[in-house]
Amino acid sequence: MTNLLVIAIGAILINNFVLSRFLGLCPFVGVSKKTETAIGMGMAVIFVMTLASAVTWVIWTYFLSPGEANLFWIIAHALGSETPAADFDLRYLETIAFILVIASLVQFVELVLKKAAPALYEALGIFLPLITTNCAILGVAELNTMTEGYNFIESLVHGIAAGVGFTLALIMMSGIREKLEFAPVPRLLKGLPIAFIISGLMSMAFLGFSGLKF
Amino acid sequence: MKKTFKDITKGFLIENPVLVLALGLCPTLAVTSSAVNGLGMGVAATFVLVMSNLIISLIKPLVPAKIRIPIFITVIATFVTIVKLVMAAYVPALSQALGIFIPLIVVNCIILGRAEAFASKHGVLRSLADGIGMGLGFTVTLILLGMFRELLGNGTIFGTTIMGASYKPALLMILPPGAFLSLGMMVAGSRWLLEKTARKGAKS
Amino acid sequence: MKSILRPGLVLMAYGLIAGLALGFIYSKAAPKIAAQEEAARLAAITEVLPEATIFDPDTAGEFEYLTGYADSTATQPVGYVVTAYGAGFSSTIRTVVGLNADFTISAIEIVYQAETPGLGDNAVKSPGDGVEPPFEVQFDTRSPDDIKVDKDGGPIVSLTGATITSRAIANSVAKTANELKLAIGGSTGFLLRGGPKCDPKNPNDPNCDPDSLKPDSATADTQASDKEASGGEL
Repeated sequence: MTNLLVIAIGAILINNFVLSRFLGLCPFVGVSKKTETAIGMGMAVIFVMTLASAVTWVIWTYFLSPGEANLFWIIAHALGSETPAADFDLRYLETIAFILVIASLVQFVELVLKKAAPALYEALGIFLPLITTNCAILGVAELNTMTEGYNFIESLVHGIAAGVGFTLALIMMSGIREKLEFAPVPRLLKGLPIAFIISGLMSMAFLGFSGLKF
Repeated sequence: MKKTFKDITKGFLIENPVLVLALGLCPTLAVTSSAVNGLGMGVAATFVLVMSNLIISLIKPLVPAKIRIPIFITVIATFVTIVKLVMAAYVPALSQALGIFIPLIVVNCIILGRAEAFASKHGVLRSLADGIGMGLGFTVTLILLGMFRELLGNGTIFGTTIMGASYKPALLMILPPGAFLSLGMMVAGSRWLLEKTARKGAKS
Repeated sequence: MKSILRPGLVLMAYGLIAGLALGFIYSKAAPKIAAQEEAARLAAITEVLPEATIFDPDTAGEFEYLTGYADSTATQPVGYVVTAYGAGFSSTIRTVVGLNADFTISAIEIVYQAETPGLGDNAVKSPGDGVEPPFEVQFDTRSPDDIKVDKDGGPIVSLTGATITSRAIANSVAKTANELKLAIGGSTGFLLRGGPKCDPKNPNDPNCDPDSLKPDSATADTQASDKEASGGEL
């Protein structure tokens, strides 16, 4: 139980996906101009990340990794083949498999949103299909399977927490940028540069979490 | 021919993928804590960009419009996996340093963006030139940012010590905040450069 | 239905081509990648126990370690190699520890750390190519009981501004070395149970049965009599 808490706090505060891991930056600077769109985008990302963590973990464990759980080996074994389980190593197909799964999930979310929350669908506009290219989604899938080797529950918790961390950073950013509209920003810094500088300051603040232990 | 030449040079400033189009931000900030990592990522991404532009402009007639995005993604992911395997086999130290950002090249908006906006609509030669131009612009930006951060944050450039032993490195530069701040200043700087060249062009 | 089937089949065709291309490349690259990983693994091990050329994997309970021998004919281990894990400031630090046969430290090598650049990660900073990082050199030849950072009263000098990192490394090395010592059971290991009785004046002689030194040891007597009964065979 504490392990799950450590993973969650880690993903939200200590290793925040946007401000420490540099994942999910394109939508971060693109959608953070208004708080309502930021919240909507954040919710969509949490949903997709959770689903993606679950599905990619299943694919990784049962189709790609070598071992007794590999379904291809189970089928071959049942048909009488003597090939050892360690030979069924398809982990190099991970990038293709994961990204296609994520693309399909995003399509699915688009259809669901169109029916269930058409106003949000309109507000998010082009940014919804762009969740596919959000490095944070593929990033969390990769971290769960290749880097950290989490089990199913840990992957799920990590996925949810990563989405929450992303949403947190996004909402903070949009709040600041809304106020910034009324501030005298130097002409050369308007827009993208000042957004980066603000992110830098936020990232500095989040550095303070790095020694957090409990 | 002139158009093809322009395709190559525009990636440096006018349509610099990072500084002007704001694409490919994740790897830009993550790998530029040292110049050599920036170079490695730039080369890897350029390879994927050029090859996928090439293949996509070749298979244009065979791609049904409805599923073109998944097909582009499949092509790009294939080349990314090739890069990942080759790097793990021949430059394992760089492969470890770049970490998860190598497979993340597949979601680098530059590559999918150019495939959709350019390669699927233009001929092979121009798509190739566009890929080279964007890739070079991306790589140069990464190297410059990497040099800047490495020099201030570590006192070295490409591993060779430049600053004297008494230089206390500004560690913040190689940590995440430094990345954001440096990139912000670089974007502002490139804007100033663009305005200057535009004014010069208008005057003459 | 047809409008979904046809594009689906086209996509599958592309996927198949991509998969085949990748399978081909992978078959060429996989052996090289495996060789790289093996070389990296071996590099740290031979670094910390340079006199050994053969490394036998062993387990004692939950402990995984390597026993190092000078060559394939040696019966006495040169030492042991074990991995220590320490909770550092911002990462779990992995240290490969080389121990001599008497469980003093032969050398350590920090193989993984993600501590603060410029502070904690100075533990692995070396002044030049091929020179061991000075922080790691401090551990050489020390007994595990000696390994404490200066703030805890020991001889290991902590890194500037990185007490937590230094303490994590020192404590994990000391703890793991002591645990291994306990698990293997003393300086002679369990290789020579049932061997000739030890001379009490020379208790650390590696060629005798350590159990024979225990007072009133029923085992010692039975083993001695078993040995006589079996005609002195080991």
